[in-house]
Amino acid sequence: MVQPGRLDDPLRYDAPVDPATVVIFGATGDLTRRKLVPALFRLAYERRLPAGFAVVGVSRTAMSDEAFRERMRGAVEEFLEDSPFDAELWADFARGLFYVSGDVHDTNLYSRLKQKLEEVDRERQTAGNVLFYLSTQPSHYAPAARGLGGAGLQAGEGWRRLVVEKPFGHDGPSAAALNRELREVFSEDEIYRIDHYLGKETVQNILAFRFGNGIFEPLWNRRYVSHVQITAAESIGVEGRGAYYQEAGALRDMIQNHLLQVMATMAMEPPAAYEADAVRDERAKLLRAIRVWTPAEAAENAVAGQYGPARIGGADVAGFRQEPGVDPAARTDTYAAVTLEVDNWRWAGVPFYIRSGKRMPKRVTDVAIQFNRAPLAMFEAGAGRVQESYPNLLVLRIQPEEGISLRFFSKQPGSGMRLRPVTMDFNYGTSFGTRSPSAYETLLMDALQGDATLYTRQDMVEASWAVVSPVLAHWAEAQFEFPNYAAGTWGPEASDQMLARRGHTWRVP
Amino acid sequence: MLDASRVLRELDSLWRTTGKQESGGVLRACAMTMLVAGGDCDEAAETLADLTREHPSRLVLIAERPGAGEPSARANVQCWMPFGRRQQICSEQIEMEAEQLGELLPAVRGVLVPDLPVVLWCRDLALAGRAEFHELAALAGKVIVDTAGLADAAEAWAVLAKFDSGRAVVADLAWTRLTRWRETVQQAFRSEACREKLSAVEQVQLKWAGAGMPSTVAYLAGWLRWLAPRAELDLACIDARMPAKGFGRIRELRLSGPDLEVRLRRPEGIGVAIEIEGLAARMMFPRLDQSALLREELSVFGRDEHFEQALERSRAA
Repeated sequence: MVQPGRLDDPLRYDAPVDPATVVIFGATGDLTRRKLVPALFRLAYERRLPAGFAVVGVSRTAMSDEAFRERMRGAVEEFLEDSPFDAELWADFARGLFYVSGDVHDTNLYSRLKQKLEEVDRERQTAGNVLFYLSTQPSHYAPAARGLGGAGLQAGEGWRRLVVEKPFGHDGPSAAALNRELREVFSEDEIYRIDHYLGKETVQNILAFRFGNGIFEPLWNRRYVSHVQITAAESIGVEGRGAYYQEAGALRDMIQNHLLQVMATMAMEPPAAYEADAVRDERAKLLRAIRVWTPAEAAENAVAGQYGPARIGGADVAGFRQEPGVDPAARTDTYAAVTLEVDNWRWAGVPFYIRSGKRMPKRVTDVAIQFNRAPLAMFEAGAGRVQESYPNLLVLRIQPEEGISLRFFSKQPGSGMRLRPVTMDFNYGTSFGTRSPSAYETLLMDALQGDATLYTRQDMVEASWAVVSPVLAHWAEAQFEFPNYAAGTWGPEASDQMLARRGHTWRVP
Repeated sequence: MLDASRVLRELDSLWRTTGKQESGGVLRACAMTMLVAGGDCDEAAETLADLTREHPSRLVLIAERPGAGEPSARANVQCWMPFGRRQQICSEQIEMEAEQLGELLPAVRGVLVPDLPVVLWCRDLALAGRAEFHELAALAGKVIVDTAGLADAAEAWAVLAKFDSGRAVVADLAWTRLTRWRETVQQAFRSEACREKLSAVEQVQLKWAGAGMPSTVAYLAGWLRWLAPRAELDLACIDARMPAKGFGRIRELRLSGPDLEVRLRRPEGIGVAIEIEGLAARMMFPRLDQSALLREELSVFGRDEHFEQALERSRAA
């Protein structure tokens, strides 16, 4: 008789994953090729997937299983990161790849899919567990869910889960409508809304930093923190996604989802346990505590920007309106900055500044917590000004150089007491040279294990939309003089003025 | 006399020089003191160089050499430039040499990095019988040995017994070699065909290559005894020839019972064939070198219950 508990050795290896089939809608799309299948193959390489495992691709293009395998082989060879492509392992992995073609609106697709899943289950011993992954355009989410429900695929012998990619609606009402459609077929605990930012190691490390250490949490409140700045800057433009991006914009594409989730992770109360609902409850509470601006406040506390043409590094860079597929009169925000306040005991009165933009001077995402300066500047004349200019700053660097920096003052060598700001750095790459799993590896693994900690919940989605809705409503009516910042700069002047009104300035990340 | 303060001053001077030479400065990284005793120092340094990025440490190589004369030490800084970055990352290395290990102990005590873990990698098992080595081991929270090279498991148990009284946790790389086997067994029993049949395992067969019963096989047998205490365990060497270095000696593991057959088979190479109730799959078992084994072992802090249970049962058998 085997003692089941003795099979697990968390010191050395991870908990196993249930046998399962992953059904990917949008199997010929970019996300599947670039991220999903390479992530699954990488998990197989790392021995994280069970022997009973299969992938069924679903898309409109007619294709045999064999042709799908060939296509995915090309994708894995091209996009697999940090590990060699092993032909023998691929041969084994590919035996578990299958394909079903059809239109998501066609009910026949789902009966064919059902039949295929039964065959795959018999052949690959997947225990009837199915993870449906909607990697399609958002307008297909509801029809796909309806189709699955119509064919009875939402329930079966094993577990059923549905992974949905963002965007979850384009505003509050559409998010609620999408949720209603999904909930008619799947229960909330079966729906996994993916926000790949939460899968990043460094975002997870915010939790480790805050709740794994005893020394920072006492400082983590209105008494010691002056304000918080969250920056997500891209140096690139829309890179061929102009048509999509001009409908979305920076506020919808980045702030409403990724950056509000990062803010919630940084500012939430300690959960009672590291369990999905405990962590998500705290994130949701924080999001609900963000003050929803009135229309007048929204005008004061949000800035939209759009980049214009510029010459960078000796090359001419097109403005947003000159990008292919973009309306020459587009009013899209390629830059958005908002000031938020959290109405709870911990954060009352502490502004949270969030900005995100395209064509900025560099690619960087970080969270900077600026502390109040020391109450008395006792060292040398003029030192108060130095201390004012360089208050203590804790920066949680999310990408590209993941790590944590703390800025503090030190005495300059020599006579007298002249102070100089210095930083103490923890660098992920330095301390852990080992490869970090990609966000999709982490999140796919979590979904297969039924761990929703890093997934967003509907109440969080709704709370996020509630935060940005007044800003969107104001911008829909506002007159903008776009472009209002040159490519290669840190955004429009109005953004600096927004902080200046509260006596703050944007840091240069 | 070898003075730890002089070695530390030398290190400090090296840091200053290196920092001045690099326009972007250097980043000093240190997560532990890694003491290495016995064996070829150059080979050990080369093995540990691969690990510096994941486990940056102050590396102290301790060599005993007849005719070495006065105890001596030299310090240097190992740097590397991470891809795409402008700042070098550096860690420290101190090489100490004396005719007798005992002569180096005061200096070793002086160069330990304060407040960080100390790990001792013992590369010569003959050191285990010496009193001065135990003084060195007493400085460490973890002592790493490798008994896989010993001809027979009984020799390994005799060596490990010498560490029993120490305060350090002892880790054996012969056990570390088994992680992927154990992980694969765990995954096999997660399969649909097996998950309900855990209690049906009545017989376990373990086959290996290379004459003798190495400690790796004995550990796996011990772990299997712990896992399935009532199953009959059948051990067999199926090929007296020693496999190529790095590919491991275990060839096959079979767990069976009424309506249950789980078979993990490893031909020479980097793959393992898994057969679970008619379902065939393949997993990667890449070649393991000492760096890979140390990498895993340095990530494990504190006591390792699975190792202790396996060792207890292996010794008892």
